[in-house]
Amino acid sequence: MLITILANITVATIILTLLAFAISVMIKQGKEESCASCSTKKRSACKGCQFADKCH
Amino acid sequence: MHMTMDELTVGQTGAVKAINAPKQLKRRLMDMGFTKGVGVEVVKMAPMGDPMEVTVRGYHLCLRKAEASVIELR
Amino acid sequence: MQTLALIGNPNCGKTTLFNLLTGTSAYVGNWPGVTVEKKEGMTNGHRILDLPGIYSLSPYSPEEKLSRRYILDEQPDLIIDVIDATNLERSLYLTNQLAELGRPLLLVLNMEDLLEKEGITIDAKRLSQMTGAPVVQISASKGTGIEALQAQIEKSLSEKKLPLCPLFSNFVERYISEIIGDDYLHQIPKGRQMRWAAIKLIEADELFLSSMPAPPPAFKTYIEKARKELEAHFEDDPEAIIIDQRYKVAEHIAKDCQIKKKTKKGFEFDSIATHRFAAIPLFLAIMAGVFYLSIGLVGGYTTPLLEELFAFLGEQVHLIADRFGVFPLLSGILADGIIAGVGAVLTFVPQLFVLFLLLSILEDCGYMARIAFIMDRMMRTLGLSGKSIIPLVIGTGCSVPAIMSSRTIEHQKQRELTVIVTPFIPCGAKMPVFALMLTYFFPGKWFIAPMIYLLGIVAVVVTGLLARALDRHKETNAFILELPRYQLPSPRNTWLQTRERTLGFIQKAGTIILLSSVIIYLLSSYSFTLQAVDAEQSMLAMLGKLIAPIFAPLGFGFWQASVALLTGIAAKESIVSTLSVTIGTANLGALFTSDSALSYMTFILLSSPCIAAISAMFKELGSKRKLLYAVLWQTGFAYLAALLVRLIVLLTL
Repeated sequence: MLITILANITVATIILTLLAFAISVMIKQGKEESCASCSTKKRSACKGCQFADKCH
Repeated sequence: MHMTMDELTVGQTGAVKAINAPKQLKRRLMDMGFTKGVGVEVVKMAPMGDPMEVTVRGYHLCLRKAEASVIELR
Repeated sequence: MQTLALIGNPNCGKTTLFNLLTGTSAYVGNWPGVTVEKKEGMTNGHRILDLPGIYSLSPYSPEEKLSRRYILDEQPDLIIDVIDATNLERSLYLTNQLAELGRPLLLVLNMEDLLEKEGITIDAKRLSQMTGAPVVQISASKGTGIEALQAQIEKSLSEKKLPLCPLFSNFVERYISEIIGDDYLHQIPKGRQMRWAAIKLIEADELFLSSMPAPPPAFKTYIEKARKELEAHFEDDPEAIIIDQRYKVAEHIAKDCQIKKKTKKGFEFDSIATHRFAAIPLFLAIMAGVFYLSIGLVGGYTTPLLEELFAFLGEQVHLIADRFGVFPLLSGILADGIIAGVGAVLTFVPQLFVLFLLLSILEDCGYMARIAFIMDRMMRTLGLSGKSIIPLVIGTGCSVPAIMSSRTIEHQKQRELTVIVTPFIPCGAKMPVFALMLTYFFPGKWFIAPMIYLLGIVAVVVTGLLARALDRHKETNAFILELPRYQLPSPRNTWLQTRERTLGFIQKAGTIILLSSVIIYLLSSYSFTLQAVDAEQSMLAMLGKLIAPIFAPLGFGFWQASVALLTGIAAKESIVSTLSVTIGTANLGALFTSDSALSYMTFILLSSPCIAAISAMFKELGSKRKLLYAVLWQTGFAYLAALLVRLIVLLTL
């Protein structure tokens, strides 16, 4: 009984983790392709500038 | 008798005398280095005889015969 | 924060340098015009811009206008002029124009390694003396000289030293100094150089004149007089005189700084690549080789192996889950949703990796411009330009960069037509569908795969001919293209590009495909009353059945096929994962027949591309109406072609 509950929780966790990962990557990607990717880090490039007239 | 660049055959050379084209095309060709007196050489023709490949100022450029015909040589 | 602007001739290595300075991997290729828009980044805490490659600051072409406007309006703190050292004269022609803009200038001599091979040496010290700008020698492709460059950037930024303006012949200089002496010149916008303004007045530069208040009549007559006198003296128009003068200065500097040795000519690949008879067969053979290597050789081995692996994984999940009494819903999502859906896409990673690798080598070695050269005559009869072939070749990898690369085509109609036909060439993401269908229905019939590409080409030809027939003006335009030197692809660049494209594919599998697989699985397992039901009664089936009748004439009027097409709008790889979740890759024969499989493939090949490509199309076409026409044409053409293919198959088999 306990094993079944644990097994269910495990599978559910795996699925939720995968989904959460997928969504977070998609959000990150969306940001990268917008002006939000313009950072002031020492060495970086802005992908958003390819799609917008001006980011800064 | 005016000779134009499209009349050159492969291996022939010439020197630019004038460019007889509308402002925009003339500027474009001159920007690419076709100024008065500069030497040009026809390197090859494309498989169907057009466009042509020429060297000007030490680099290779391809242009159609229609554009080459506005470049007058001496 | 200070701003740096990278500028230089097309194909001189600006983007490679940009990548080195910013630590990123923007798209690089060895054909003129890869950077079609500016890119921004950070280096050492300074903002850096990669501007499109230009030959001049003329007011005519869009890229040149963009770069010119940028430098004039934004007033960057330092202009970094990248000079192709093997093309010194033409590069210095642009440098001469940049020097007049009144901004600090730094010259970067690139491609030092090629220089040695060509037997040319450049006296950097002399060049620096003559231009009044610091000179740094680098090799962007090898990554050498970057530290020295970074040090010089800091130095130039703090010194703020202006370069020397090129001096023209006395006859021209006399007019320039007289114009500068007039009060009118004090009205030029802040930051502009008087000398620059005077030259623009002599040239009668449209962009400059429109930015200035009307000159007083007396001054206007003086300018007119000066222009007339120059014209009479040089027997040419003033704009041409200035270009001529600039090139004279460039010649003079180049002659003084450059020592040419005699070079020996090696084997010339070009003599075959552009050979009268061999060129086009060679091009076809190279493309066939690319596909044979990636899809046939590599894909043939790896795809079945990976398929088995994912099938095994799915079975194991079911077995283990059953043993521990996991809900069928949960184990179903994991095994039949995620593993089946994502797995179906991931099986294509090895062959796409090889395809991306080979395409990147083709782009890097300088062959692309030659293809444009040899194909121009043929493309012109289709209302396209020789440059249209570049997007079509890149489109075999992915339509998005392909559509963006069409921007180098000068003529608007040809550019738009190229944008519309590029998605007809099957991209890497459509390949999984074809591979799935072909291995299931036509095992061993290798000749069908090339036919798909051929069909894509036919669609391009038909669209082109039709557009040409409808176009009343039949205008032709200039086709002027620099043919870059052949070079060995840089391993670094090839690797970066291949890795980025392959990772992009894997990332799509892990994100949008994963999500849609789970959603498709849930929708296909439950009814609208949320009862676990057979797929036939599921929500997905109900939705699919609404559109399925449209496709009945094409032979795939069942809901699974329609739903797969819908998910394909998000990403074409989804079609395979949807089919594998709803039908199962092993049961395709239960619904498809060989004729409907062929018409299905045809429809997918030609119908409107994925959402990313559609938005790229929108960006390039620039109007919603044109985009709508384009998508309607693609989809309508796909429908008719699929119908035709099916009829032919039914009648002949």
